[in-house]
Amino acid sequence: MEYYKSFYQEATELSKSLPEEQSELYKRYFLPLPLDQLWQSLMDTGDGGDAEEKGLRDLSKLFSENLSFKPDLVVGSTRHFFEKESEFVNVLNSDEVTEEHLSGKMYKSSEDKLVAFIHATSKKYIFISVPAKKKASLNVLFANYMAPSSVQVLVKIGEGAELSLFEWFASKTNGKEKSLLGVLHEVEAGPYSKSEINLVHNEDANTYVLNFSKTKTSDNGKLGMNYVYNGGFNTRAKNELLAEGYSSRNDVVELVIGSEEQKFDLNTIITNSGQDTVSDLGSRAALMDKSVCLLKGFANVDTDARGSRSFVNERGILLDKSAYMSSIPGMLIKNSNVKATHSSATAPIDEESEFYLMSKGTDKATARKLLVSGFFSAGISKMESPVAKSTVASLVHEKINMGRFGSIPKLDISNIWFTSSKESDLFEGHYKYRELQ
Amino acid sequence: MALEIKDLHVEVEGKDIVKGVNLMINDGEFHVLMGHNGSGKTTLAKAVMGHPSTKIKAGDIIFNGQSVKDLTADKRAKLGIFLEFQAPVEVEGVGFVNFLRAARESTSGSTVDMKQLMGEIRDYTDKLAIAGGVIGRSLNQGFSGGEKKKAEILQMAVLKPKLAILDEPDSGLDIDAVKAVAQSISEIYKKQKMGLLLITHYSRILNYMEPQFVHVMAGGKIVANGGKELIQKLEKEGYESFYNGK
Repeated sequence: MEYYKSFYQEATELSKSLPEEQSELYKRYFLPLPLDQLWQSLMDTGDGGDAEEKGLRDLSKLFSENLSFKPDLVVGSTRHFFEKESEFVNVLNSDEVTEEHLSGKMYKSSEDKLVAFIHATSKKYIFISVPAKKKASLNVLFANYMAPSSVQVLVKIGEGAELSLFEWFASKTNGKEKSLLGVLHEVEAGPYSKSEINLVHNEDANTYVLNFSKTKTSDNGKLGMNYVYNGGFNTRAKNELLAEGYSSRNDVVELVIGSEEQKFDLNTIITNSGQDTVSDLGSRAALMDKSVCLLKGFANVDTDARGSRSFVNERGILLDKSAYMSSIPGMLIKNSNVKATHSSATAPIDEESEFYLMSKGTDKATARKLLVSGFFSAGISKMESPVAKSTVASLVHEKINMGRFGSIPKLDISNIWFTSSKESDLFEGHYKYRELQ
Repeated sequence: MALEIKDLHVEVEGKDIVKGVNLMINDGEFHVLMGHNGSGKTTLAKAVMGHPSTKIKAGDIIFNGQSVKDLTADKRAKLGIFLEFQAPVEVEGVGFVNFLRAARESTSGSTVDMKQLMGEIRDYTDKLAIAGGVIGRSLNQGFSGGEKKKAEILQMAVLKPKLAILDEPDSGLDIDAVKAVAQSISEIYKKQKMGLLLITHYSRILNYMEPQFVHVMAGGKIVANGGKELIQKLEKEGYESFYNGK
């Protein structure tokens, strides 16, 4: 950690010259974070001791009771424990991490002040390594338990290996001082590997959220990254996904459900650098009350990415007049033999759809809830993991129907309609997932 | 008495569309409303259901003795009015069955027995020759024109209204489907003893049905009232004769 502290100071100095720090125009497209204040609170955090461990166990129990499955690993601000040991996972405290552990690291502290911040403040490192041709499934519960938390997750998926990783980010704060949950992922998806990583942010309204990730997919590898932003007071995310190997594929889903005065500043960059690669980014945001979302999806298509396909699709629903969304899709195409599209649409609830549902008897509030659930169902249906599908559906239900976030919801998927491209599965598909209840 | 429309004047986007319509539909009666394109039939139907684009300038809509002109669409539906849409809206991600369950719970005011609901859906799915996969999709999304119409009739069967307004249930249907839809409507109408107002341009669907009253609309007004003989007159002389005030 000492090693990284200097980088944070250096990166802070460097970032002063960045447009978002300098220009009033750029500032409109970035949400400010009181990093120095958070930095101090992270530095002041001591070992949470037995109280933290007990609190985390209670949280894990509540999670299991409400969502009907147990996390395999629980990671708090300073403590962690396994509910179920896994041969694929190794958790180290920052003082146990050596340069060897971090060899081949994709992120450099100097490239971003926030990355440097997470590097400097990470107390836990989680190494997930799935050897060639192995299959692994892992559920992790993270929490900033009574103290700010910053963690790094470094994932290596071997050739032909498969990983299904589900991560839930929760909070237990004192409700007074602002807290933080910062997470940084680095994912190397090997050749012919097939993986899905689901990150579900449901921190409380007292928590700043930092979510950074960099991924790299090798030849014929497939990687699905699904980001759900439901919790937190102020979320800053930057995710960079590289389809590097020949015929590799990255599918990215971003779902944002904002309420109260939540703020989300999300920057996702998909890059096709290999031949015949596919990158597909689908972002959906529904905003209530005074919530704000800046959705910045960007597609890079490199010179060597002949035959590649790249899609950026951003859609938003504003459920209240005081909600604000700025959708800024972008593209940089350096090869002419590619397919690339981007689209963006933000609007209030469609009046014709609302009237249609109301004319059949559903009241206005129910009609709106159905429409918002439907809006998210397309994204949720893209998730392959049944655990991710059902928990995210429950989260959407909790937020839309009860206006709550930050706690662990009861499993309820009755309002989400899981669609499928397989005609024969369509009719029974919904009820298959209902059985999870 | 189920529905009474009294001297109704309706404007849409500042334009007068319905210009003084009077119509009375008693419980269990089957009425047909015919008219050329732009005569105001759909606007009248939308106004009865409370579409926000329709502004009632004068007159009233009475349903079972209660004025409904200031009620929202869901409240009118709860009283028992059903509108089958000429162009049903495609609603992304809202499952057909989920929607029907929510609508049924809302109109009946009680929790739905899913097994019973699925039984009713399957029954009418067979009668209307709707492919099972269609019901499994999102509401009206990816449905063909005919499938949308059949799905609306299925909704009517399940929601059991007191009065159904069917806005061109025959448009977009092939010859066999027109017959199947007509027979299903007739069966539901008789079984549920509801009032029925069927809006159409063409007489073909009426070959399989027995309406008691036929009305012709032109220029925002009802210009002729009668029985099935009016249909034959229309077939012979066209709408123009009514439009010209013959």
